[in-house]
Amino acid sequence: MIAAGAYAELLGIRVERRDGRLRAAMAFTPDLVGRPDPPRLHGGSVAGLLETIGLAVARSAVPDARLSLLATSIDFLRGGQPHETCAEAEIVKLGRRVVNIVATAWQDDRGKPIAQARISILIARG
Amino acid sequence: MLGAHARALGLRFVSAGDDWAEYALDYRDALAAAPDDRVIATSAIITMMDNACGMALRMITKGDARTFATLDLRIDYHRAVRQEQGVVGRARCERLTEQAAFLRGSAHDGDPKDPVASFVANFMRTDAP
Repeated sequence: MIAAGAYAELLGIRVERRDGRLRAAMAFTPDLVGRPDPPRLHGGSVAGLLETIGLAVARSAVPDARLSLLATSIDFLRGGQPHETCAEAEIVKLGRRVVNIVATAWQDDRGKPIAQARISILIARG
Repeated sequence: MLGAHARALGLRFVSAGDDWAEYALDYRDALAAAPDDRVIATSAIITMMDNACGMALRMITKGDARTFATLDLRIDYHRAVRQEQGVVGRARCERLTEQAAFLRGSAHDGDPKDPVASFVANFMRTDAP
């Protein structure tokens, strides 16, 4: 398991490496609920999952650098059910100063993602 | 008034007007992103802004039973939040149509003239109340 920080822990997010890829999983708890009736995940919790996996993937690509988020854009595609949510991320481009990442979150069907993010991350080397 | 997730983070309502709302998130260690940095996680700011948008929409649609869901959002992180500082975020609904709402806002960590982030979001009307 990869350490992901106190906030990830608050959201119930674990990051693990499986089959050579990093995957983040956010277990459902009632503390993640935004709209209550019927219960739906708060978009902010899904954002937390996407930024967590995005940063983890970036860190694994440039382990010696200090990274800071520059911008995050999220499309919410489907309402988050009260189930576990998973997310993976891909590096679209690893530049000298910026990493561009796409992260996708899904629940029961990977073919029906609930959200997708584009994340740009600044690299401060040295 | 606050949902479960907002309460879990310690989000608090500050103020609202005809088309806007403001929320705050006070610093605590559980909200920090990296283990030792004592800086509020960026996605906590997203949660705060999303809540501010939701309240701004309740303000501007007073009496409207239909609700909204976040369609998309973008946040630009101008600079890091200072250590052990809380954040305050305000969102305003710029336009409301039959189907959608367009909101814009920003967050700061003490000085509104020196924001930590700018924020844009589009919400869609849902059919259910």
